[in-house]
Amino acid sequence: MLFFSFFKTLVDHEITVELKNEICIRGTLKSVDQFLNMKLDNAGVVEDVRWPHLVSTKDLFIRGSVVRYVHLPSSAVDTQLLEDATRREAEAAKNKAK
Amino acid sequence: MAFNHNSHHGRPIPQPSGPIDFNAMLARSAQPQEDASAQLSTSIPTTGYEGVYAAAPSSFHEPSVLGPSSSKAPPAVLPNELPPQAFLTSAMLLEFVDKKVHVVLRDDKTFVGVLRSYDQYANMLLTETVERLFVKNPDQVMVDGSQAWLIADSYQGVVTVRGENVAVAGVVDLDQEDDIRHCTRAPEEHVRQLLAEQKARKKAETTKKIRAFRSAGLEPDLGMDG
Repeated sequence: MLFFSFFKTLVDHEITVELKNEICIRGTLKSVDQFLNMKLDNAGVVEDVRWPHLVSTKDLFIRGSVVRYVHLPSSAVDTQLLEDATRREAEAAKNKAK
Repeated sequence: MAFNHNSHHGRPIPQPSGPIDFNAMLARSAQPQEDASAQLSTSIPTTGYEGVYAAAPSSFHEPSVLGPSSSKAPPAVLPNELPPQAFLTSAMLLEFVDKKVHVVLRDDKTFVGVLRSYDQYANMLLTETVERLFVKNPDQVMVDGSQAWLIADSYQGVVTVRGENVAVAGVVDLDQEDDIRHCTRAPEEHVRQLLAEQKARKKAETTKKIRAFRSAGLEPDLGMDG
């Protein structure tokens, strides 16, 4: 749930998604769901000579299970807040396990 | 609204405060989009940040998500006040229905068709579907050293795709649709033959790779196909 919340704060930022088959797609994040499926607007493939499959699409739905990396603008991330939230999640998980 | 089963304390009053609060919650979550767009124009949300990052109290709500018509209201308050239903798989694919879409699968197969139906796993039903075969052109090498592609369309009709195989789905831009960059059309048999050759070559390479990994004592990394 933490990363779902994290991605919700990144809506409307431009991100680059690298898939497991090495296609890199850059676009504006419009929506994300609990499986980390993503919806990008105005998306384009970064090296479209190597992957002509998607040349004429603008809005993309990317299934979460095929994502390898998400490249983010570092200005969009508050690492302190993320650290705190991670610690809270870890505490909650530890307490639940007890 | 069957939420007040347990609040009948024998009181004669038939309207406990439970249902009224629930309606307020529903009203809040069904807020008009104008609020959402005003909020979205602020670049980085500084208020309500903590609320979003807070560990969600329960994962009970999540697994059996029914879609935008579900009556369950998730507890977290989002920083940009979009109705919680916007962040569901169902909401994301809803805009693609009855549009021409490109679906790229994990093994790089590409289908172009009209999306008619889908579900929360991204299983899809496409009609008027064409499978677009892409193969690297062995003859033509472009000036900058990159090869152009040969494409062929193979008519399939009605196709269902299992969600786990979907990599990307995108709406086709009908203006740009006809001149696909870096591609030239070719007869289907020619393309299929080249593809078969490529596949055989790739298989030989992969077997070599797997053997190399294994002899080094590592598990082979096959990317998406593994």
